[in-house]
Amino acid sequence: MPRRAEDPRWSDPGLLVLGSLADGPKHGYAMVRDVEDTTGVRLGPGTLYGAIARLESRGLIEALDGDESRRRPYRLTARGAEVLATQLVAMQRFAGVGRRRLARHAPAFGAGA
Amino acid sequence: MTTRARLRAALLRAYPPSFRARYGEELAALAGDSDRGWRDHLDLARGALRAWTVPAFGGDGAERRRARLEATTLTVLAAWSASLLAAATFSKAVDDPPLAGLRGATWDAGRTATGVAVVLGAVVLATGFATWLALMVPAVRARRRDVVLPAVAPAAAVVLWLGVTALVGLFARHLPVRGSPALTWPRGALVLGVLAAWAALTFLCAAACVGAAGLALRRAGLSAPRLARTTLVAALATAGLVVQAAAAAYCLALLTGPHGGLDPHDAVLATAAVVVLVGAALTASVSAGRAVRALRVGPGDA
Repeated sequence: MPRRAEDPRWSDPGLLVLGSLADGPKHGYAMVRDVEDTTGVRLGPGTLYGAIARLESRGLIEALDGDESRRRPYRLTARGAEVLATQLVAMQRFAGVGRRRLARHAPAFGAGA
Repeated sequence: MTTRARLRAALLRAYPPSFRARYGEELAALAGDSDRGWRDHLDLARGALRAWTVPAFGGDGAERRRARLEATTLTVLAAWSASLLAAATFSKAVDDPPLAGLRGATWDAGRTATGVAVVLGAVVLATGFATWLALMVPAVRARRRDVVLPAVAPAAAVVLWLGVTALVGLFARHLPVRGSPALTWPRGALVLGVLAAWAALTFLCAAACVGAAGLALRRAGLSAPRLARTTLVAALATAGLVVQAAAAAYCLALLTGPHGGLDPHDAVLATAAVVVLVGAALTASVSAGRAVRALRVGPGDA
């Protein structure tokens, strides 16, 4: 089913950036491609760098020395990995509960769907 | 350069100076690589707005702290400039010509509120100039034209704006009033065109003032202790702005109340001035609060 703009969304840009950096450092363009490939969400440049600035100011990611200042790579910090893990566990629990409930009350969309 | 590239460059320039210094090149490269047209432009505009209203600073602790203090100094300077214009407008609206027939408790309370506003206005004026001088004096001594020119540019922009506003005021005074077809074609279009051009000039002057002041502040590269002192002066100016806005709002409430006697046209002007005063005071307060917090926690955790 196609997603509509007014549907509730789980795709907080900060969380998507953390998830993208979970498998290693990336620069902005690589993050946009990775997030789009894995979630179908296309982060605009303003949204991406707003999220990067917030995550960096909270110490969840850090910049690495890149070959060029136009493509600076970023990586998760230990604190960022901890925050991501906590969020993913919460999301997994939420997804599990939601799917079990759907399986009981709307089997067509539930665990086996 | 294509129109699309020019628009993109303008939107990138709309980001706060500290954000551009940290992420400007990367953001420009990513925006240049993307091909989503107006959706990217909208995204950049939203990002710039958010970067101003909910700023986040990257880099190490000292770099973040510096960016925070610079942003607050700039924000308070902008709020201070807006308050100066609004205070002059408020004074003109409520006191020129002096209100006749206003006596008793309302008059006494109004005079007290006006007195408080005037004294605080002087304090705010002095502290604002102190912030500006903290930037200018070392730059003039070191003959830093790259700092002095953008630091004096806002004054030139304000003089230009005041001149054009006076001309628009003269134009408005000579408009036909009640009962005549002032807003019919083609005169109505001319009136709306002049007002729209004035509004656009106001916005451009304000943006130029903030941009030039930010550029001067960033180029000046004030030392950390001097920047901290500048921030404390800005916090003092903010306290003055808050009380000044409260006094003006109180004064307006009295003058538009049952015993006020303020002319309805003047009341509209005074209300607009109070809205600007309150908005400037709130904006400066939020920013000063963040800077004071950054000063308290120190460079490691700012």
